[in-house]
Amino acid sequence: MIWQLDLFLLTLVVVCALATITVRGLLSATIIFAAYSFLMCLLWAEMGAVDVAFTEAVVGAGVSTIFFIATLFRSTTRSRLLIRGVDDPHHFKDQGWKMLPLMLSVVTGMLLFFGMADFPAWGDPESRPNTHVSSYYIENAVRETQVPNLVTAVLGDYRGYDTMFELVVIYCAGVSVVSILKQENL
Amino acid sequence: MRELQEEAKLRMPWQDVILQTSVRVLIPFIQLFGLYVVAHGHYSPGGGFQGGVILGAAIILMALVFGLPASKHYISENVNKTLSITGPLVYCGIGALCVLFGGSFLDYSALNKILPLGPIAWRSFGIFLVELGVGIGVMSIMLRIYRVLSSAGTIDQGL
Repeated sequence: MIWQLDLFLLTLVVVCALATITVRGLLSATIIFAAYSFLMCLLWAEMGAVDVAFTEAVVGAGVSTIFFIATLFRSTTRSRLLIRGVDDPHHFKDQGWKMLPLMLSVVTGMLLFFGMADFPAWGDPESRPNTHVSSYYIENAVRETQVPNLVTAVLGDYRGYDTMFELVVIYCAGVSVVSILKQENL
Repeated sequence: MRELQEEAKLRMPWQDVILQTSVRVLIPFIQLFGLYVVAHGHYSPGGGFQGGVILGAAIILMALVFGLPASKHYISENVNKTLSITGPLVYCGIGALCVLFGGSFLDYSALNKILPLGPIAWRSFGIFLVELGVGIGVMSIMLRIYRVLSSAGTIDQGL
């Protein structure tokens, strides 16, 4: 962990996230969101979680951007809430309702920051997960499975059920997209 | 964006020589890299999920540049439909096979009775087989979602 690099990346992440929700055109929002995913990927890689970074690069910055653009091509490309603007008579009436989610998210965010104080330090060898299962995997995984990449050993062998149902979830996602959108008997 | 949509309707996909030639060169390498990521997950970052997405993205790229019908010529919708259920079935099938040979579900060392490689080698190989199932499933599901989204559900003409 190099804190200067972290600070730089995290600043860019926050900027990208704010830009994604404020920008008017949805195509621009999609592209900025891809940049956000890529910055997250850099962060994961910098924290040493290379497999997560790989997944984020491939799925977050790659395929999901294509999915968003494919969806935008078949729909309107401007957010209806943003188009309405100030001229709309409903605009000011909605303002009160917009304050409630804002207050809620601010309060939730503050609670989360408050709870973060109890987190163990990053990479703390004395923290609960690091003393409980991680040490077992690190000591025994290579001997028991002959897989040098511990992440693959954990995903494929020790946590095989999780990976299986992840695949089933992806299949269900595919089936539901098809069943919502299909026009005729596909 | 409206202009882009109009332009896409008029566009003749076979006209852009530079795009088509470069993509034609690129796609085999992307697919090779996807296979490498699936197979080399034991030793380097990657595995079935990431490799499957890369393999799916290669065919999505083909569908973007050469048009959806060309990609349907490469993997037809029926084959893709079959592949997308093959992935989860391979995973669950290997788990069930372990039960049939006297182990617990997804305990690959039980497969040693099929081919005596040693229980530890089978655990390694079982992970590979399972990742293969993940790769096949994810590839075809990504492709299927893209096809349905980009053609608004008809799967005849893409973007």
